[in-house]
Amino acid sequence: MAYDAEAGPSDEALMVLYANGDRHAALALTQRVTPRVLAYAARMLAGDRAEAEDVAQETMLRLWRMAPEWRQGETKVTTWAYRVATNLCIDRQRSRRRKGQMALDDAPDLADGGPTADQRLQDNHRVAALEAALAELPDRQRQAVVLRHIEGLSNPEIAAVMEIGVEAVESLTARGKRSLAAVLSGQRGALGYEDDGHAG
Amino acid sequence: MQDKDLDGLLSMAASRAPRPSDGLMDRVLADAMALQPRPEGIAAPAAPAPVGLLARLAALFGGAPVVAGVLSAAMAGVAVGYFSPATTDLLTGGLGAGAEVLDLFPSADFLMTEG
Repeated sequence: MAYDAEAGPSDEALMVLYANGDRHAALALTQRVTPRVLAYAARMLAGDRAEAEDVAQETMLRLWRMAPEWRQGETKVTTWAYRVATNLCIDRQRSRRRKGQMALDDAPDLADGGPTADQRLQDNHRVAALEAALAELPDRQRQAVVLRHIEGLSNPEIAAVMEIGVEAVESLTARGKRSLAAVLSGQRGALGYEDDGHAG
Repeated sequence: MQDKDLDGLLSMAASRAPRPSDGLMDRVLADAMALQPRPEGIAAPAAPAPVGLLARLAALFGGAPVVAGVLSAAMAGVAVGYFSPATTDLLTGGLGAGAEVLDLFPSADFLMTEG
């Protein structure tokens, strides 16, 4: 029986079905989890699409491998996947820093939309600046900000991913946002915020 | 930069999540299929052990215990009929030896006399 990519059995139930040889469960999990891991990895890796795809594939590969030992009720599949992807992203960032190859110009494919070409161009510029600013944050702050404000996880969910307390998550996201604002304030004019009348 | 500008920027980034390419989805699914445990098939029932002639005969008479009982009774009958009473006494421990004469009508002798 085919499963809906969004509705239907929970991710955790699909893991059990997958481990029992259900091929439809493999497809549903791929469709549900891969996009989220890819989006998260792209943010964590400053928009490096190729690296983000590698991280997404490796994360899913580990998910498949551990499926036979998956124990329902212990953790959510997405929490586990975010945790693995975080470790892979941090490893790659450290490797890139060692090689001095921090690439900031490889922006992700952006969805079409926006009223005008100028507006779309400006939005792309702003998102690229945000990704560059995120890359300057300490790893834990960047992880907390991305999970909270871009991936839309709740603080308890982020606490589970990062294996810290909820208060620590709140502190990391607050500090991360302050740091982002500080980095981006120097580019306020270039990003067009003064033209919008949002001085300050 | 104001908070609302930053919040707006983060929301915009959230709405522009990169979509996975078909190639990535295909690779992930191929990994899933390659690593998926194979379902364990239902084991075929074990073939019944071959039934011998004796077993079939025993089944005909109600099973091995019944046949064993019948054979035991038959052997006891043969023994009782074949051996002499003395041997039988030996086997039974003398329980049946020494027949006693019991005179149930001690005063009935006169009925047997003529005269």
